[in-house]
Amino acid sequence: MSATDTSALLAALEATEKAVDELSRKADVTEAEIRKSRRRDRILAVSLAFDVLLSVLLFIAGAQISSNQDKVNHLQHTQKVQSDTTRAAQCTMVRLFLSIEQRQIALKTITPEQRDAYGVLVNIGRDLSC
Amino acid sequence: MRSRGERQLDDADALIAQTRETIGGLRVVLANLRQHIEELEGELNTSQERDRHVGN
Repeated sequence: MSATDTSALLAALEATEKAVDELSRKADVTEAEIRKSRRRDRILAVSLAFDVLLSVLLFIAGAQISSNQDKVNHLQHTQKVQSDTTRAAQCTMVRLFLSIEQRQIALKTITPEQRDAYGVLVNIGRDLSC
Repeated sequence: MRSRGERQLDDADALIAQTRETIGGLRVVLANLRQHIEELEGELNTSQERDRHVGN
């Protein structure tokens, strides 16, 4: 073996060492990519879980709003029935007093104060659209 | 249960570990080779020196 042979061998060895270094560097890059992919996967999984949670919360909120709307509708209906009943009762009382007035007029027992009071009742009846 | 993507990443991790092991082995082989070549070079120099002395 000559000195030229050993130089050539050393040059080949250095080239191989460089190739190994390059391979090692590429392995580092690939490993970093794998880590990045895992992180991205974790973020996606968390994002998905968050979306599911949000959907459930929105569904619950929607159901609650619908239920509240039903209660409001029911209350409005009750209020209207109550108002109609009150008005009907007031009208009945007005009619009752007016029939008493008619009888008092027939019996001629009505006083001027009572006549005025019945006049007020007539106005009230008109306001109530009885 | 792991997803397909996770399994692929696990496989890639295993391949990287295997590659690193191979690189480690290669480095040892290269170091031994270098040592051997340097020894050979030393022997060659000694031999050439001896030849020169004999020539003189």
